[in-house]
Amino acid sequence: MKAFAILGMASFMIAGLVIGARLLWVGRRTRQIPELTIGAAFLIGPLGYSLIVIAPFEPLVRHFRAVAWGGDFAIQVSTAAIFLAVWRIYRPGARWARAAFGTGAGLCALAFAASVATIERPLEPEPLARWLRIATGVVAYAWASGEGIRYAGLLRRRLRLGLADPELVNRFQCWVVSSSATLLVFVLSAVNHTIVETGYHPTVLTFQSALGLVSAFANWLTFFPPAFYRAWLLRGAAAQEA
Amino acid sequence: MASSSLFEIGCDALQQASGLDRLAARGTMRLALKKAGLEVATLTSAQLDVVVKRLLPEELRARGIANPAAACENLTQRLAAAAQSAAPQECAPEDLFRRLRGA
Repeated sequence: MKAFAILGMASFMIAGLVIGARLLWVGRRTRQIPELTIGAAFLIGPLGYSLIVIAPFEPLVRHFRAVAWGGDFAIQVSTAAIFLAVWRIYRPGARWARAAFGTGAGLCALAFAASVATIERPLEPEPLARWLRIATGVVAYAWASGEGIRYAGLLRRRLRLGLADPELVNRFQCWVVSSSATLLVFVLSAVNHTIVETGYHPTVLTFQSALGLVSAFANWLTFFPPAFYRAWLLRGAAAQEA
Repeated sequence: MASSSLFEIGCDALQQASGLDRLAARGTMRLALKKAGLEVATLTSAQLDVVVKRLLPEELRARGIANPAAACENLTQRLAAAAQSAAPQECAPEDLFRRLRGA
């Protein structure tokens, strides 16, 4: 069970790093906010969690606070980037979405400030910092997931009129799966911390790891689907039309 | 959110082609776009063309327009010239994936 937990979390982090780096590479050329923000979120988030995990161990434990603060800063920048990406991708012209991004980014800043003010012991952030970290993740990924569900629904209607292609619809559906799985990881973090003080209940941790695997796989299919998968989707769509 | 210029052009053309008043023409166009899964801000001329040909005849029939096919044909002609110069107001979410495909 422990090995599975490590596998799930490692897959989530490695996929995030690889996909994030590739998106930033594309963003370097296109200079467009969506790929730059998602790329930054995917790359910086896993780095932040890695710092939090390694902070209590030698030789970093001597600089525990600085490393943990660095990790928390990266996590909150990553979450704020998700708020920015959702606003700019799905609702660039909506004032309420701009306000939602501002509120989300403010919540991230507050979560980081709480972390700086309260972190005392390795792997055990104080309740305020812990719950704010979970809350920012829940809100950001709930928004991403909700917008994805709405947009995938629009694309399914377009598909019937030939205004969208099946691969595009599938990409948004995979994105919904990855966002929803990440959202559930945060929700289970809340459950974990409610059940046990340390936040490491083995069963809940196993579910989180499984969701990490699902999210990593779905992100891969969303942003860089392999040629055989795309061909399989097109063959399926052609068979349906015939 | 401000309306896209393409949407405005489509509504004006629909009003002239069908005889509907301004409010009814806009409502009819919005309903047709909703059925197609399209959004006003990211509407393209190709998408509007499909909506006019595939969905608007039924919508106009439901509003008692005597000859919806003729009205839509008239609308298509009006749009052909006017809509070419109009661009979507915002980038669509799927533009991200189009850029990734080209990467």
